[in-house]
Amino acid sequence: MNLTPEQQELGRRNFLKALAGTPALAALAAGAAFKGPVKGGPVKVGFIAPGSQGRVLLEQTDPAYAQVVAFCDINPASLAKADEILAKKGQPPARHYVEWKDMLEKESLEAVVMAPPLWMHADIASGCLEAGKHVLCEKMMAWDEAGCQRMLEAKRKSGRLLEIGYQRNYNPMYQAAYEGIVRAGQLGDVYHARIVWHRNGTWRRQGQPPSPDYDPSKWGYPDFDHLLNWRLFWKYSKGLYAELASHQVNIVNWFFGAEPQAVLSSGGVYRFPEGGREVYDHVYTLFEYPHGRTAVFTSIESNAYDHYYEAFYGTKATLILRGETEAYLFDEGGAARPTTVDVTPKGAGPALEASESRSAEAAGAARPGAPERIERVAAYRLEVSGFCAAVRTGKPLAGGPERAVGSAKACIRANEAVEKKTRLTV
Amino acid sequence: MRDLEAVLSPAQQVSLVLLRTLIGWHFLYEGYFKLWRPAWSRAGAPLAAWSSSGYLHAASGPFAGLFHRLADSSWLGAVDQAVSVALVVVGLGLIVGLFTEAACIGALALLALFYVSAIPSAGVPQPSAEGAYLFVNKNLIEAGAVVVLLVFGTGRLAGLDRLRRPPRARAVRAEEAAS
Amino acid sequence: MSSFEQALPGAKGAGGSLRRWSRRELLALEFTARPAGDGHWIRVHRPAMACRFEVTLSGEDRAQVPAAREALDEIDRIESALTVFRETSDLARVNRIAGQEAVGVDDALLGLLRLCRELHARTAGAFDITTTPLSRCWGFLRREGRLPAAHEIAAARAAVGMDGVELDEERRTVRFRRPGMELNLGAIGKGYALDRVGTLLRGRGVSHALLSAGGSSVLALGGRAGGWVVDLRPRRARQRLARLRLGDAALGTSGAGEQFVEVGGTRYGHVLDPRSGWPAAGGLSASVVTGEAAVADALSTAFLIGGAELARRYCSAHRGVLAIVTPDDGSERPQVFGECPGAVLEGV
Repeated sequence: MNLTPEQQELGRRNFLKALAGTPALAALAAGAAFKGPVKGGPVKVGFIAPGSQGRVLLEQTDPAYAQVVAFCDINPASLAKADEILAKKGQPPARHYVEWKDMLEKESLEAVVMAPPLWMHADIASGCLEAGKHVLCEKMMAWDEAGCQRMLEAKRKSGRLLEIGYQRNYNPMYQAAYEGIVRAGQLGDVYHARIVWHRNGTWRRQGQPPSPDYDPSKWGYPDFDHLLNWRLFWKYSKGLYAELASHQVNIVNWFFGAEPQAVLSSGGVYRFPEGGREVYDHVYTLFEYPHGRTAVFTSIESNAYDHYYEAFYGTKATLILRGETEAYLFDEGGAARPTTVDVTPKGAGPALEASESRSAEAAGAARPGAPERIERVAAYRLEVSGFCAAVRTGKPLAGGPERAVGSAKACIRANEAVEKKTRLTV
Repeated sequence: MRDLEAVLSPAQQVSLVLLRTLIGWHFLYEGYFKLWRPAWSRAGAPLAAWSSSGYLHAASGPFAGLFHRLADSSWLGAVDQAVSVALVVVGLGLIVGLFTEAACIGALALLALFYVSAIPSAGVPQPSAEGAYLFVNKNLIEAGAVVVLLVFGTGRLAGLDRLRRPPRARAVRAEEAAS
Repeated sequence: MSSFEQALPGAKGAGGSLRRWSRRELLALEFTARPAGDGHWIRVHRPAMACRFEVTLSGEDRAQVPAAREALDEIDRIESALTVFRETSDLARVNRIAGQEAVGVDDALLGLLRLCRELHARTAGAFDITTTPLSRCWGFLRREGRLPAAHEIAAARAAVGMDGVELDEERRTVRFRRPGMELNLGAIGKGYALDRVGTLLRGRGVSHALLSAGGSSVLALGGRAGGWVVDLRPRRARQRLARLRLGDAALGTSGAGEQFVEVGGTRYGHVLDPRSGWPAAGGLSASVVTGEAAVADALSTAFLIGGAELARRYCSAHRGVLAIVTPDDGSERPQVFGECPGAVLEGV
């Protein structure tokens, strides 16, 4: 091509002029890339051991956040029940596996949600993390402290996310209580907390094996009862401390911003010694925190009057969080009337229903039939959704494994202290 | 086009190109965002897959029936795709100033479509929309701005259209070459 | 948000029925779907003034729970000044002494009484804080409604009327001109308390909160994304009568409620018409939206008594007042009058 110098000059100028819009475009595109949406659909997850607790998580899994593509369980009955849940939710069926390693190999999962018996947590969670999966693991973190450390190490090496299933961390009522009351100084100085989980009845579950010749012995359970009632045997479980206390210690650690330094316990199998039950049915522990703070935990299986709650006794006021749904605040001195804090889902309805004046006893806000309080299970939905959001968008986890290690360590030591009838440092 | 540069002050030229870039970005990002899905917001919530269905169903005005039928038809998927691609193409054309006239006409066609599907006739604030509009809404104003871009031929002020030789000029060159 | 011109066809002028409408004006290019969020309300509440006082915050404003508690503490203080059920309250002192001599009151109470007198005049006597003798004679004070004899009503009416309340602005005192008079702020006190607390909350930096006293007095501060959604649903209504979006506006609602006296097959509601001495007839509910909760509260009572006719007259003479009046004829068709900045009325 032959161009005169004039033509070349003109072409160069034109080209520069033509490009004039481009820097603006580039700047805008870069800006949008920083703040814009994150590409991707629902997180592809597999469920490991969807037993009773796993099924709660499955039921509360929002398909916009997570696509459930596979289940794995050594109990075929659990797989069938999990299928029913998906069918009831109108979602496509998931593929079945018996061994979790097979599932990881054959499926291209991004994350797993796992709820197997406690003794398997460390093996499965670290295995999944090492395979590059993000992990949402039911509480308690692991059967022993070494297991917790193994999980943390696997998390660190893999760079994947690990969250432990303390749904209270995702419960808006707890978040409101922490930020709006505790951190806002409404309680004054808190030296004492009481955490209570009282039930009346045996923990033992009744059930038939999936088939007469079902044999779970190759997975470490001598018979079906040991698999069904794994919570009652020390080999698989840490009893009431793992299943109940760790939830509440997790809250005290969060609200105190500290971890227990020592534990003082008592307890035993007093009411339900039959059937070979090993784990205690009554336990009592004093958790000692730094700066003279204590939390007293009691869990009994002979009376349910107290139900379950976490109570914080401050120099200015008392906060009681009851049944994961109710929050009460009582000022010291008793002059003022108690304040109640309800957290309710926004939903599609109005924020308020107005009418002629309703009496003090009548519900003040919600329309008839609408939930007055947050549903307990809503926290599980927020937990699964929050985990998926962390996987997809990098949003921080509400709990995280570091806090979970703190409550696990304390609960494992508290259990030990019952056995030794002594005070142990954590 | 030299005439245009001679007639307009630098500030006027810059303003016109800026207007073109802004409108182009508006179109480009709307289309890009629709094609980009499925996606999640930074706050951690999945964004629903985009479909014009809800919009078409909510259509009112003289062509409401047509829009409603379209919303229920099997073409909906193709319509969604076509609208998204059209937004991107128009947006890119306006930003880089290539085939600017065609991009302006495309933009006008899209805006006309959006406008007639929901002509604001209520004149009062509507739920979930800010402000009150009677006949004139932001679509119509944007369309007016695009008309300005069209009649000023801004692609030749600053844009890749400058690299395209006007057909007549090319014909003249051909004559010169022949002679 | 711009003011809401009441342009629903048939709702102009004389106040037609609310039309059903749900069409939305969509910005054409902006058809992004709303992300599926899990939002929550935080409701901080406490019993006060024989109802539930409640501050509703959006979940993201949880750090403002302490301010909400302060608001409820303030409600307790206001109640202890204004209640007639405690001997020690400022108002109880006025009722006890003002028949004999002028009683000194603080600026707040004097201001409130001044507002009551003004609203009494503006509503041609339909709003009246001196009706306690009538309520007593109809048995409503003890929740044992009865039909009084004509001479009893006449005797009670003699002790009723704002003209019998003398406010001395100079010396800041109150005096009753006739024996047996009593003041009761039941029809304005909750709204007044909300106004006071609203000011307190704004001063504490709370920009979004919904305050409610028993559902009958509502004050909206701020309001994200189109305002606070409040449904109007009197207890005796089968369905909601209207949906309101409120941003920096107050709503008051009065209704015949469930307390009534039935004599010879006729039901008489517990809201008394001070002008006749008889229970107000014919209203299912009356709601008023305006800038101040005290005014909304008082006007809703006045419009329940005075009906659509009073509401229409009032709203054509006063700007910034939206009234929704529903007659008790079983139709549950509300009539709408006026307009209020910050309030958008939606159909059912």
